[in-house]
Amino acid sequence: MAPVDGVVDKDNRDIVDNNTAQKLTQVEIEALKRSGMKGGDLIKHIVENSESWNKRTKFSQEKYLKKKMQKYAVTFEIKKPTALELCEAYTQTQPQRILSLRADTLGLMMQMANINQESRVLLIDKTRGLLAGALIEKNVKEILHVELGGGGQQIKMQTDILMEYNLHPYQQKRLSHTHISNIQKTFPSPTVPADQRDQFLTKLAPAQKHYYNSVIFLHDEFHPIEIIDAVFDLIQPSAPIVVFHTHLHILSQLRDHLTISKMVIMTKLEELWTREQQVLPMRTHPHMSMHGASGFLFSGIKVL
Amino acid sequence: MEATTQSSIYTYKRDNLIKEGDLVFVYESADSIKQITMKRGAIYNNKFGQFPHNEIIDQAEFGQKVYSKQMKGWVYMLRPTSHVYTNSLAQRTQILYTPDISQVLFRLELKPGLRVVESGTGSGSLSTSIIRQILPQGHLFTYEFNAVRAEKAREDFEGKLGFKGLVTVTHRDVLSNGFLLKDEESDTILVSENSIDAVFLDLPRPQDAVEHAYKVLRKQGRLCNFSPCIEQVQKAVEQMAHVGFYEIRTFETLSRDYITSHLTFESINKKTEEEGDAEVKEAGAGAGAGAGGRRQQKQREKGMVAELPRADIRGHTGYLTFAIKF
Repeated sequence: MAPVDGVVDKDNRDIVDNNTAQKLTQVEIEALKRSGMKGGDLIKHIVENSESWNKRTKFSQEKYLKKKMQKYAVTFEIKKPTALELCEAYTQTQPQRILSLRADTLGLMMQMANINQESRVLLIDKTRGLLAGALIEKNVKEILHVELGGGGQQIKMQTDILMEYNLHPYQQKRLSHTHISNIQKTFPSPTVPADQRDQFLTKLAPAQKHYYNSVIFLHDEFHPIEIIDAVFDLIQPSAPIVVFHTHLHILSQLRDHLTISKMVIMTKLEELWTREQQVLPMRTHPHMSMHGASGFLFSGIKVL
Repeated sequence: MEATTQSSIYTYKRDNLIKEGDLVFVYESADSIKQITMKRGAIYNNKFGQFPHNEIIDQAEFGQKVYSKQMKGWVYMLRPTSHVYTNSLAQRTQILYTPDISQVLFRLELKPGLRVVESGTGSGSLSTSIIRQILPQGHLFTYEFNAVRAEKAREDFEGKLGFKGLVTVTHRDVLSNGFLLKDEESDTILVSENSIDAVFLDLPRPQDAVEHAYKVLRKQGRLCNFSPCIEQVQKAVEQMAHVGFYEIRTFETLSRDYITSHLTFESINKKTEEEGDAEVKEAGAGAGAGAGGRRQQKQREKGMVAELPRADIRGHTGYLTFAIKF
């Protein structure tokens, strides 16, 4: 590429950053704002009163204008809430509400769980509906959300983020709820001795055994080993199991447990490294700041 | 129950039985996964012996362990779920790997009913993942400039994958001729301007396809370009801004894999065997919830669980640029 005019012939050797370059005072600028001067005109005025303007390179001038626009000529776009937008927004503002699930990991999670319109998903999570909404967006056949907490009393799923998707009632119908205690009664985990299992209830519930072809677990209060064990009979053989956790070691323990038991194969333990690039002529480089915690993902396939 | 049109590799089956005609992944080991189509009379052979299809069809379930006739070993019969499929695909061209595929599907916001354009088709790895997201009401129009690859892709889609009616493969150089498509026989317009929800590009000169993509995309439609080299990215992004795309964002994504090891440690202080056992038991107690038993004991004897990052990892696949048509 040929050198761009106004770039190679200028630099900042004579620019001194002592706050005296701009001739308008903050008071004068505020007065102009109040008088109803439009953003574009105000910025033009500020540039005309800047001593450093002509010393700047073309790139520096662009950057300067961009900064002024963010201050004096803000534009915004109204966007529809989708899983991608909601996840990115929460990651920026309140990541703890979605258990630090980052957007790129959410994308990978749905890929590893083979999510599509044929999915019958067993969802055990605490993302207040972010995940449930993302699954409904992909038009899954059904979701059984399993609530874990409550200390014996069956509490209902928190849905404040689910509400933000503005879903139609017919879409919401795909989501049904249960409590882990219901599952434990009918499907005692493999480690419970045979004489302690409820024989009657076990006979009653063949419909749900080996039913779900996708399992997603995202929770911080309960260890995944205990929960995956508890719901194991509900999972269809050859179905993917995906578990997200902020801490790698918890997933190591899970992977070790499932591998040794020979109940799960093709296990993988991974995290995502994602970096955004600034792509501009003569100014292409990765962004200066980066998000360092994608969370960790365990995935595997259940076998008989 | 709703009426289903045809069975594809993604169709849910309650009984989970393997049927004749099914595409199955035979898992021999983590590094060896073979793709086969079930057919009466056929036999699958490997180092463990023979696996007659007749003994699997209508008898074995997906996820089941099957022993060879000679009982020398076994394999698992697996469903063609997404990453299993991608990992075992015969590579006819450089394929997109799972992390990149997941970002393409997620950031293009693909879902059932969408009309998607893709070029080039390559080995059809990404095409399969796209179709998985948009079936049954959506459609993928995929363009490939290599005649042999185009035909092979068509065969796969209509044959073993069961995607007939969901995808149209066109042998064409889109850089010169764009994406507008008409069915030659019936004269029906298949792809017109402003009729596509998402476009994916993986081409040597993407900047030449950007304007074509803009033409067929509807308002607010999304574009994704995959390029290994930054020079191509720069040219493509410049074109995108020029023709009227906005929110142009470029990412690189890599997956970091971990191996699970078991570590045992020597001690500088010699202990008696009982003291050693007691210590291991204590150390193992925190390693996992759940009841004890032989399994847990074996685990503890192996040592403590620890994670080891892999050294031989991918350093780069390509840059993914996403943009929205204004």
